[in-house]
Amino acid sequence: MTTDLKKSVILHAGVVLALFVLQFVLPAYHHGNMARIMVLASYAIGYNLLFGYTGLLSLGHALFFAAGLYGAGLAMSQFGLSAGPALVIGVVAGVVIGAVVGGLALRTEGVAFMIVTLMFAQAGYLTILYFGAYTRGDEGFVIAQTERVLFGVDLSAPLVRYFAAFSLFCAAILTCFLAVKSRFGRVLVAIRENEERAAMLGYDVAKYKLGAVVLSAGLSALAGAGYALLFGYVGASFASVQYSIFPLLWVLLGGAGTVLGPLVGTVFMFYLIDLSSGLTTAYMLIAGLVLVVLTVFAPQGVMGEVRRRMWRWLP
Amino acid sequence: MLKLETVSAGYGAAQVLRGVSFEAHPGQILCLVGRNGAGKSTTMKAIMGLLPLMEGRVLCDGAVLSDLPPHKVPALGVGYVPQGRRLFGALTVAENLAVGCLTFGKGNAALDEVLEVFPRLKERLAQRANTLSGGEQQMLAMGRAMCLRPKVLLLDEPTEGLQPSMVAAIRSAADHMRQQGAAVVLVEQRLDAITALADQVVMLENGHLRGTLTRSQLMTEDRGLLEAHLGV
Repeated sequence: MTTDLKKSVILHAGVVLALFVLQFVLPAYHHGNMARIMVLASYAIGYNLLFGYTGLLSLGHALFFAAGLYGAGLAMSQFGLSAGPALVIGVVAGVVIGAVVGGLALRTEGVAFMIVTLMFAQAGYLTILYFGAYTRGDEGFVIAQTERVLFGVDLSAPLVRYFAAFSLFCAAILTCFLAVKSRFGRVLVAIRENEERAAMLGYDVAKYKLGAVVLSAGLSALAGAGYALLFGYVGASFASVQYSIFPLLWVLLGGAGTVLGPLVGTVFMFYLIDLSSGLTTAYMLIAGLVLVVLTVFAPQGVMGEVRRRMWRWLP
Repeated sequence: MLKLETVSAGYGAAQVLRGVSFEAHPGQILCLVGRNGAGKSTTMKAIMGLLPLMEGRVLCDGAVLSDLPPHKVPALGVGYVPQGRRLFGALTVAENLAVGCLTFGKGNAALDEVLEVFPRLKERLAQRANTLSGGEQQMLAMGRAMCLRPKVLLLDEPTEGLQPSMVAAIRSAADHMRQQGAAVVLVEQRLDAITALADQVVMLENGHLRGTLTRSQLMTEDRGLLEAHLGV
């Protein structure tokens, strides 16, 4: 193991350990917030694999998050499945939809890719509304607390929910870390840096990009399914364009193309809105100003700047 | 080894190459010369499949490259170092080389060979590619292509804008590849480099093949003809 890799492992293990310890010290309000943040950060990690590492800007990731959310939710509400199989169905739904959307959207590039992914997500959103008899449309549906049980453990209990969100986050960050340190990850970065050159070294760029979309969709769906099981609500708002923009913002603020960036960005945005909304009803104005300042002074996002200025080894 | 048969190619409707044919042989350096706009870089791109051919075909060891998608061309042993280097700037030197070596499982042996040819890169392994000097970037671009252990190596003006010591290192690497038995196709504008390295010279003018020179011809009476095809 090289020195840089050792440093990376220690840093990431330290962050994971800190998140584990936090569950025993945080007050109830922040305890719940952190569980939610870890699930959303897992979604952002999935997004970051595609945007940060591969350089593909998607505006349709809400479709993948919603695939996991509704895949798990409908499996329980419509077919009476338990939490475990529902989680698997949610992830599989995301992977399958990711493969189909990726296969079609990757025929385009740049702005056209953004638009095509956005259109797919909108089609998904409208499909959810159209099948309101099952999805309950805009209103969404709740998964009863008694059904949210995995291996005999009640997922709605605060400590369990935190630990489950933590486990989900660990799975996402470990997948991301291993992926970016692998040959696959290096090729993705090579594609981001110079697609033509990657092809000239013999890499089938289309195949790698599709792999990135599928992995990204799978992680996003895992987060969506996890959200349904841990927070018990499945609603169409999670499939709206807003939820495609959120992960982009989280990743940009935290640092695109860094493993920890999505977590930092999600925490930052979550608490920025949470705190500013306590001060004024015009909280979006404050949030907007802070975002402008951050973008001006840290254009590569928080962890991107840390990498640029201090820790060049940061993956 | 590498053979172009009446190749015509261009960008959209704009035709640049017009029926160009030549052959590069193993263990030899073929210098492609011509004034700006003559079609040198277009020839390289046409060989790599980056431009669709309007006419003709490109063969490597009998396999028709022009029937393949671009990413399959390196699998047949064709390495390409384009003008302007085009490194993966966010990756370190080691990662750039690894991306090159990993493609066809060439692994550490190929990497060691590259580091032997370019010892400077050994000192920079952990450095990001976009922080290297111009000469080091060129070494890395060439080293990355050499990781493929190519049978044919295409070099598009690799010494352009470099200081003399770097130019010498790049030329020495091209010579190393020739000694390894590769067919090297080198786009070059400097007369001293051409006379020092070339086993064969192919002259282009406005997309047409204007003639070829062997090494012995190059050293004697046809030097004036060559000089007429150099420069801007």
